[in-house]
Amino acid sequence: MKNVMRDLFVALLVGFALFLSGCASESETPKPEAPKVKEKILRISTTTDPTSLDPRLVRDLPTVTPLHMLYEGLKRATFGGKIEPALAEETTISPDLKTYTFKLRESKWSDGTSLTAHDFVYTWKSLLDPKFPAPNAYQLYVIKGAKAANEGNGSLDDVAIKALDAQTLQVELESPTPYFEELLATHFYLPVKQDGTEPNNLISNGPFMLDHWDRNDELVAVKNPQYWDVDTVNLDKVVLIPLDDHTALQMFETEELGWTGSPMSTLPADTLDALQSSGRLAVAPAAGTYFFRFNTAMTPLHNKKLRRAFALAINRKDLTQHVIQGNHQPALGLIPPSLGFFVTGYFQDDDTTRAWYLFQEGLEEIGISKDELPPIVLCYTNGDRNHKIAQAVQQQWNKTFGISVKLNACESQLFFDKRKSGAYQIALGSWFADIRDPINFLDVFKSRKTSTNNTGWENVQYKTLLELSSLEMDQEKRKSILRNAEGVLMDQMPIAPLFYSSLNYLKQNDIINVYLSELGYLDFKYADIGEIVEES
Amino acid sequence: MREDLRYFLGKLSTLFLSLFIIISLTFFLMKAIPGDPFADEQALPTEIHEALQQHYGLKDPWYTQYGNYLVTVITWDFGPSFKYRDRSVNDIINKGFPVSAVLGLEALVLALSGGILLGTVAALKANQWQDYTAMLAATLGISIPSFIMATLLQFFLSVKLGWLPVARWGTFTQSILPAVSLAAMPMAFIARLTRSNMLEVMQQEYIRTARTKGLSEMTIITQHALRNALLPLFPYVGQLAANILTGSFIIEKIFSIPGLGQWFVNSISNRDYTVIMGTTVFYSIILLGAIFIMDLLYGLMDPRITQRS
Repeated sequence: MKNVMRDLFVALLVGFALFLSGCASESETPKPEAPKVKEKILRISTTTDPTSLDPRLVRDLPTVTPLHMLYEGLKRATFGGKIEPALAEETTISPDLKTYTFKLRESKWSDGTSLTAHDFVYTWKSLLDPKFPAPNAYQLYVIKGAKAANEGNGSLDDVAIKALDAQTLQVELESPTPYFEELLATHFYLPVKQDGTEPNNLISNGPFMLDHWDRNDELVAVKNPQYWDVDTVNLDKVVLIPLDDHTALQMFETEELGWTGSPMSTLPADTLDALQSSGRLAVAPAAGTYFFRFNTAMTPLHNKKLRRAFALAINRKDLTQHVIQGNHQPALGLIPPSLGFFVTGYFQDDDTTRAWYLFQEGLEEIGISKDELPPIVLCYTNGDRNHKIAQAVQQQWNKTFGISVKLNACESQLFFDKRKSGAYQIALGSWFADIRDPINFLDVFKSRKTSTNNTGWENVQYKTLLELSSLEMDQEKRKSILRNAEGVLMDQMPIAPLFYSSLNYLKQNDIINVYLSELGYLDFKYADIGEIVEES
Repeated sequence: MREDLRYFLGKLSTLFLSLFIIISLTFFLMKAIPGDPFADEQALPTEIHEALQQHYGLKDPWYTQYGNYLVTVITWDFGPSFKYRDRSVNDIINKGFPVSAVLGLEALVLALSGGILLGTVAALKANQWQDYTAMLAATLGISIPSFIMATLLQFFLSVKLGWLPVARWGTFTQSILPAVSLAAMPMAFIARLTRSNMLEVMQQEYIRTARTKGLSEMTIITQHALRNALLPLFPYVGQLAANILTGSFIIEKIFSIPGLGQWFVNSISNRDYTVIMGTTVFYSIILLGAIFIMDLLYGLMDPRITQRS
């Protein structure tokens, strides 16, 4: 027993010595640069590990990028938001605009088997199966019979998705859907091979295929030799690495990464200024808007004039330029200009005079004085940026109205719970588009019961306009209907727009032709790593 | 021997009782916090949301859920993660724990060897420059939080000097910075503890006796002094081992190490119920196991303990 202690002590000493010598020997021998054929490898940092590689299960934005790498649907979105034919070589639309017939090109899965119309039928029907836990099933509800089948009120056999033959797919819609081709380019409609979604044996059909995925360590995709358009693909390998944001930036500096920042990760806020002034920061618009929700079911914000007063008194220019970093643009409407639809502002930013009058009139309408106004509470999820926004607006409201606004920051799941149950007065929120169409924003507030609404607001005219828009096939007329709907929303103001979001990122100079979608994902089909151009 | 056995059985039953209490508390606390795993900034349609809850058994009455949960713990099959759909909790533990454990072991060896060495040297050279240097280092080690230590090391040694990899996991060089960052605080603590115990022990009568017997200073220190000086370390080391082997959230995040540490924290903010349960139960087993083993060793090293109880 006496010797145990001594042995232990000696063992520890030896361990310590070994550790030190280990450090020394490893750092002394420089790694020899193995001469090899130069592969084009793009390494990208992500904030979180992809949640799943089965497109039917994915809801989070960061995972959409690997899905578009690995899979390809009937259509593909590309530069400028253009929808190009992908697996669907030809698309025929019936005169009543409800039946789409797709002629599929000959293509193969990564395991060499043929991809047919039956694979699409399998994927979409499995997605709608009530027994399958698909969070995105509702994105397919435009298809005839889909909603009923998914909610268990109809049979899957009645869903109007048919394979006429191996290369012909026919889909009948519930009603004309002007944005159906946009939907077909999203990850919700990507095909999967039956029994091929196991991450250890993933079978896919996109420009790249899975080489290996070590959870929380790296996801490596390599060029897919079976891809029908493989000659267009330039990169040999794409590697996604989950990294802490600061660590990612340091690895970018040491050129271990080709791309960091949006949309897969976030650049640390405290570095944005320095990166911008050094001219290295790249900025692109996102199809996303930040806004405050007002709880219109609760006094005093059931009063429209008060809501408008609060919205008009916000100084968005100050907010985006001085309070938060990241090149976001002041929002004077709901739909971001990056979608290329409307540019109108519906009100004036920082209109404190009108806000003050509206505030007085609102109080009068409710019949209370300023001192009788119940305390206003602003809710938001924890986070540095949210806190800065809340504090700035708190100050602006205090200055304009002379009232004190309470701030209430909570953990995200708690916040969602409060928002859902309507236990809030004003809540910070955002919406990022699933498709490049204004309807995607306007539908958020379609009716009181819409799960995304949460403001308790509903308007017959607004609802009618939205329904009308889906029947209108003339693009210009449809636009003007949707613009009118946005006008109603901005007059009633169940929400106060704050800013349109931007994507801030860094990429090495030699990386070209990456399609950065406003929807918040990257497409590497056409990407390339060129010769490094030295800037003198 | 009887007393030894009673001591052993007593500790063992405490272990199982504590485990059961922790397992149950985890369940009820988890259910008590509002929010659910499927809520998101872009809310799902109500019908879909409810269908998901139904699918994962979140709509069952609490006693059914609690019963199912106890079954999953006993059969050690926690099912799939709610957030990371195509991986199971067992998979997360099986893949993450070895990584965290290897890193933890490295840090543990470093902390113990470095700490005991520094503490002993400081005590033997009390109030000389060796003592002051060691204690200055220890004070710094205790006061600098591990994430600051990690960021500083990363910035200077990797980014500026390029000696070591910035982050990630796989080679020995990649493990050095995280191991040092993890070890710094416990090493400093162990050094201080060892120093003060050693100083006290060196004053004892039996050391003087050993000296008068003419034993060499080395023999006195390693065979007589250290044994008693290190005894108080045992309870601390048990807890430290459990903490450090199951991974550190912040260190794993900074160095992007695919260990278990991140899951503890992220699963709670995601309300990823199965992962919360799996990782918490796993952690408590390791923690209680480590404490149990340390208790036994402690009793073995110091017979007074078993007799007292």
